[in-house]
Amino acid sequence: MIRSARSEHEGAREDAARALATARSAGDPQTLYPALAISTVVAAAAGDNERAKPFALELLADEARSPDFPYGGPGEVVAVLIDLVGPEYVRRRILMSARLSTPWAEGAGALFDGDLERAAEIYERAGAATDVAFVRLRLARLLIEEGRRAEADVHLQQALAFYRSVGALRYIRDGEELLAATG
Amino acid sequence: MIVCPSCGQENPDIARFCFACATPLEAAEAGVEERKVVTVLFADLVGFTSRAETMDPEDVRGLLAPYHQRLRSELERFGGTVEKFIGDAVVALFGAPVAHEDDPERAVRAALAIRDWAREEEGRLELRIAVNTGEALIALGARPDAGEGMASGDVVNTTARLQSAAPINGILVGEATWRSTRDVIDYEERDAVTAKGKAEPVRVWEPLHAHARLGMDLEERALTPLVGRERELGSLLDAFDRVCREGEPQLVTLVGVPGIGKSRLVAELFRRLDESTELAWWRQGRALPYGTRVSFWALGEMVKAQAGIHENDSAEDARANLRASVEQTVDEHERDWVLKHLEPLVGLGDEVAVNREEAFTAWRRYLEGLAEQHPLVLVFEDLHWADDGLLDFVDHLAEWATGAPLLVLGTARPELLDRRPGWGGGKLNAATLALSPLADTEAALVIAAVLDRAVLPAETQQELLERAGGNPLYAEQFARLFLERDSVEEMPLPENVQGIIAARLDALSPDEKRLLQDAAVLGKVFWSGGAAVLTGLEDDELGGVIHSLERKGFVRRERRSAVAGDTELAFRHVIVREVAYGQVPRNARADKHIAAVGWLESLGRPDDHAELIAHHYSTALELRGAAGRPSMELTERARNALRRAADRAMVLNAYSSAVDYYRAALELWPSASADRELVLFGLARAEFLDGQGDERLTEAASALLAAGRPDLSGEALALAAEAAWHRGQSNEVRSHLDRALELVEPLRPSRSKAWILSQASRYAMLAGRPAEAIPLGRAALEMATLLDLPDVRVHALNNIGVSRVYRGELEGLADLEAGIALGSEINSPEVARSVHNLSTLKFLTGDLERAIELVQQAIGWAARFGNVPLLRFARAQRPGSCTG
Repeated sequence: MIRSARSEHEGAREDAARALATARSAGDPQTLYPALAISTVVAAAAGDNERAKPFALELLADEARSPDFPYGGPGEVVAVLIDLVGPEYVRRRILMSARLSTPWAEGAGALFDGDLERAAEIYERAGAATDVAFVRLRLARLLIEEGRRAEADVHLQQALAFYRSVGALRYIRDGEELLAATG
Repeated sequence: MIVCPSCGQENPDIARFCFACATPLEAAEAGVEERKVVTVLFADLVGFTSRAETMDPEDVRGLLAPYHQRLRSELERFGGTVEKFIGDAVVALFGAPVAHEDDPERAVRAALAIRDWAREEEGRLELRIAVNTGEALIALGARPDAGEGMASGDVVNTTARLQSAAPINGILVGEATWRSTRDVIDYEERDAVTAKGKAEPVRVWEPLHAHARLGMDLEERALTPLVGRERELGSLLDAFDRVCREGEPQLVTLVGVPGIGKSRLVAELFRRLDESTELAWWRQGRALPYGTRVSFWALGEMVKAQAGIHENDSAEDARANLRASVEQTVDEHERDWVLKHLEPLVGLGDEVAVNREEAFTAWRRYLEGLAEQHPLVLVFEDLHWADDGLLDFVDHLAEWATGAPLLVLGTARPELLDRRPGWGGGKLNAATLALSPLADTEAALVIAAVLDRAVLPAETQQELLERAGGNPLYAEQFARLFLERDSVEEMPLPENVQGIIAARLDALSPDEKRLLQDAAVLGKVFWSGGAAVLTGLEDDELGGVIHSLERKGFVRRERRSAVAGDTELAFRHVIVREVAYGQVPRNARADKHIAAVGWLESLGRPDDHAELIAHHYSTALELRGAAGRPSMELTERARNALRRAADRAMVLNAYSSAVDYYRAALELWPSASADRELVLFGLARAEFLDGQGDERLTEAASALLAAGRPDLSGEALALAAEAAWHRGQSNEVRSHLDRALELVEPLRPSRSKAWILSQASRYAMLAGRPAEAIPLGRAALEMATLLDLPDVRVHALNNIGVSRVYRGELEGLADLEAGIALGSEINSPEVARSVHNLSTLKFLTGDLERAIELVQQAIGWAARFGNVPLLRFARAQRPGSCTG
């Protein structure tokens, strides 16, 4: 996921494929689920939803196998799953069966509801910097689309500050495009 | 017959000192037995029983006496021992009581000689002969001439069956004999023999002819590349250059154990000189092993070769050729004198030399004459077998030859230096080159050349290299065996390698041999104290024997010893240990293993030696069982030792070893016996931690509960919960943990209780219930602190830390860091999980570089402790998005 964030799509794809092969050979669902999640995010980040969707469906296929994500899963994973298969399906498959009580579960609930602002606050409170930045970037895009450029800019600057600190090129580029749009 | 341990001379039973070198001789003690690979020869007259039926007993005896005499003569000529005559049948052994390195070949040559004699008799004598090689139990003190049986084993019976199936005046040999002699004997395969008592037909071959044995030339077989001997070859070429340049003789002796490459090096020198434009004469002779020793044989071979004398030449032709050679070589006024002294060397003339120095001078004059014509290389192979006269002559040649380019090149095993400690010493023109084992990279080249492929699977290559031990001959032989079997699993010793080692062991003094056999019981590495206990040798005797074995290249003294006050030693070659070990009969071997335990226990600190003690006890038990002498007491000792070794392995987190020990212990544990449930639990836990499954955990939980151990039963269930979590079966996780908590709830604080609480905390954390996980973890932490259980504290801190972060309390990171610090201090396997979890949390909190760094560390910890599930998990996540 880190390489994917740094726009190293090919390397990220290779890492994800290797991780998935290792996980499948382990024969341990607890190892497989996170590897499937990583493969989903990496494929989606590369714009390859056709490849990402089967991973997402495999990940969500077995309702009884909770807990899939012990704390509710990273916000980015939840958001990508929602993008690919829709919020209700994800909600039903993950959160409801696990009955989690963590900030990430709460954050995921906000994502299902489409309340990005609340999600950002929850992640902020939990100290989940990657999730905060991810949600703020999405929120900025939404606000720009709604014409609320000043509010968007606040979120955008905060997200970019984090992404610049970790060299996440893909997000920096996305953010800078949005910045240009706001200007 | 007593064979001299020093020079190999065979002496009659009454001899107390060797007739050849005066070494004191000891007859084998009556009742002493040894396992040996022997070659059995069985010969029987055809139809004699029915003929004898109508004959007078005295006539029968009159008929058999010369037949027996001839057979004995042929068999002993080739170094065999007649074990017994049973009427018209004879059983002979090659390799017992003393092994030669070429016993199968000697036996087949003896069989061919007997067959040829029968054929010459043209119908008056009809025989069937069989030869077969295999392991037998040998009574070393037996006196065959007094009718005492010497060998017992399947090989003897099978040989008798093969003999019945042999053609009239023909021979059949079994597979092991064929395999070890096929390079020197021409064979044709015959139909396999269906032998009584054998499940499968026995493959057989009929020997037709033997290749000439006493050749004077180099081996013709394809040579493997010369590897790792460039420096030694350079020294030989330098010596030859110096000889040519200065016109003075040089003596160079190559010393090394069998197979180390002495002959190969000589062959390479020959090739190099042969390629040179300058003509040099190369004459080569070999000293023969005992039984076929002829004085000055090697020198005689050289003279015959120079003079063009063949073995089947008439005396007149031989004499004429020798005279012609002398005439071309020696000044006219000395010719008759030189000729007179050369004749006995080639089997002519019977005049006894009254003055040996005169004979030496005459021979030298002849050789100097040759060297004056062309630079001369004289190669004396196997000087360790040479008679004293030949050694004296080689010495004389180096000392006295002058004004002639003469390189005298000898090859010898280290035993030569026992006979002649000052060999080559005190001469400016003499040098000794010791050939040491090849490095692994060099031995790998030999193996690659034989296999004709440069790359082998790493494990296969490692196994072959270990077996070869740097000896190129062994490397070649094991590589050939691998080619035939395509596997290194349970690879047997090639017969010729076995023969070489067995013959070397038999040439040792009884004390030296006993020490090696006893040390072999102790292991590849052993200590002088253990050897003293097993051999019964006093310190001063032991020191001398060890020193001698070091000199002969059998053992190596380590610079540091793990046992204070004892010398640590190691077999130089693992297969020498195998052969020495295999020679000790099973019962005696079992007793020695038990004695080894006694020595180990005398060192104190039994925990440190738990695994060694378990090995010795279980091996002793196995040997006793195989010998039909099982013992309840030994069984109990063995199973307790195995359990201690398993517990010890668990303490060291060596799960795989622990599984093996617990499994072996459990097999010996009676079903109704005390503590069986504890051993079962130990096995179940070790199997689970080693990634070998968890099926046994619930069985162990039930057995422990039935035995009144609810605490341990709870532990087993908590482990079963972990296994279920890895399978993704959350309901089972919950039910196992609930049951475990229920079992320990009424109990007082204990290790089990603390650990179960911590496990419950972990799974509550993993299930996304931090509110439940944190108090469980804190209860575990408190109990672990109270009972001073640092490993449980590490576990609990991990769960508390992660749960707090999940609840949004970033202070939980400090809990994790504290757990990791403590875990690192006590070397806890839990560190792997803690570090992995911290990696995940660092990822979530945006410290990506640290997350990457930590996941690599987690993989390292998991690999170090063999935590297979976590290793897989971490490798699949790096860096992860999940805690574990």
